[in-house]
Amino acid sequence: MSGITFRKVVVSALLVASALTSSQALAHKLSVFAYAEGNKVFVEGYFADGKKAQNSNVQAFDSAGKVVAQGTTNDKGQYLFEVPKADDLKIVINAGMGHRGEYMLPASELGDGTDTAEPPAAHIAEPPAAQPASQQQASVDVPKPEAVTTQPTATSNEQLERVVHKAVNEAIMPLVRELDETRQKNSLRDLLGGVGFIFGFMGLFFFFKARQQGSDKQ
Amino acid sequence: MHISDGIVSGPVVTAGFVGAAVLAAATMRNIELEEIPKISVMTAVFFVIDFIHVPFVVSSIHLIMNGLVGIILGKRAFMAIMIGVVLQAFFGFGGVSVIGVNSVMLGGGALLAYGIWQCRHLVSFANRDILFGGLAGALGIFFSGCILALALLSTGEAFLVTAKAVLGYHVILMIIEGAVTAACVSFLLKTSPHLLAGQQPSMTTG
Repeated sequence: MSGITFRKVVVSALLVASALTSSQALAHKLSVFAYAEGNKVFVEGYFADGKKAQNSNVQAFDSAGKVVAQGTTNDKGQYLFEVPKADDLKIVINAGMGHRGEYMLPASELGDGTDTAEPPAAHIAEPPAAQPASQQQASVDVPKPEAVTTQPTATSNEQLERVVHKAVNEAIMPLVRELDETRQKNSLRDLLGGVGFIFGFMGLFFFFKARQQGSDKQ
Repeated sequence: MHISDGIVSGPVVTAGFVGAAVLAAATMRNIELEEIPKISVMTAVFFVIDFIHVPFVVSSIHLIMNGLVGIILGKRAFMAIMIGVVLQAFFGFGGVSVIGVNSVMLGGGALLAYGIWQCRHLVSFANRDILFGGLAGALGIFFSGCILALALLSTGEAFLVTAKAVLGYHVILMIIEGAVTAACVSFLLKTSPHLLAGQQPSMTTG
């Protein structure tokens, strides 16, 4: 191939590639994201270009490799299940046609299995015994002596912590999800890296071939 | 279409590597210096094209163009695609354990496309090159789809169901790829016809 034609091929190939990849250099890779809230696990499967993994098979394996949950994603690519015990979970989504993705959910992210508990029963004092009708006074509104006593400080701190934890979790979950998605994307930079590698590898091959032919001729 | 890790069984993975080794050995003998730039450009093109997505109904499809690689590189298409598949595996696009299977699936399709492209010498009518180019592009994908269905067969999924899904999806891809390949062939015929492989009817020279 003459030098000029070779250059034409390279330039046109690169132009086409860069024009088409400048906006979306994304691969058909199935990404899985999961998070836990209490003992409920929320799973989402999506392709790196944003499309959801609809009607795909989901399986969750515990650290022993046993299946602890199984189901199908809805048409937003989501699936929700309850985990029977706190354990490291491997969540696998199979979207068919050779597309499969995994996510490791460590046991530390799973909650203690309880939702924000109801406040412990307040010490409600017994209402004073009903007055005999004859002795009913005008002040019917008998003051309820301390219907709710101040709760022991330990319990209310615990409760507060749990509530805050839940709220913060909910607030950052979209951020974590977005971060995960960004990490999975292949950027234009990755693409150029791959192309560079190809040319470099071929260049080395060319160099050694040329040397071998050079020494053959001698 | 690239298969990910952990889907197909062990024997299929082994068969993939054996098949890829056989095809590589058969097609990589005595590479000429002059062929190397062309091979590297087509490898890069193949690699990049797989990353381009076209939104389609509920999901999106990506072009594969292994037919065009076969038409331009002839039998060297296999190594170009194999290198592309290896790189793509490191980008998370297709599993590492199934590099052999993916190479056979896509590289085999390229070789088949080259074979079909060479058949154009058997007939002679106007625009036969463009027609055979389109056929080669489409049938390259069809072959790849068949290999995919065969590989998925080993996972235990009901074969007929899988095969129907795979081939149904690929019919559309076949039509699009055939059209794009035909367009590329027609463009190359006008600008640089010597780039197309197999100017002689024999299949052993490239």
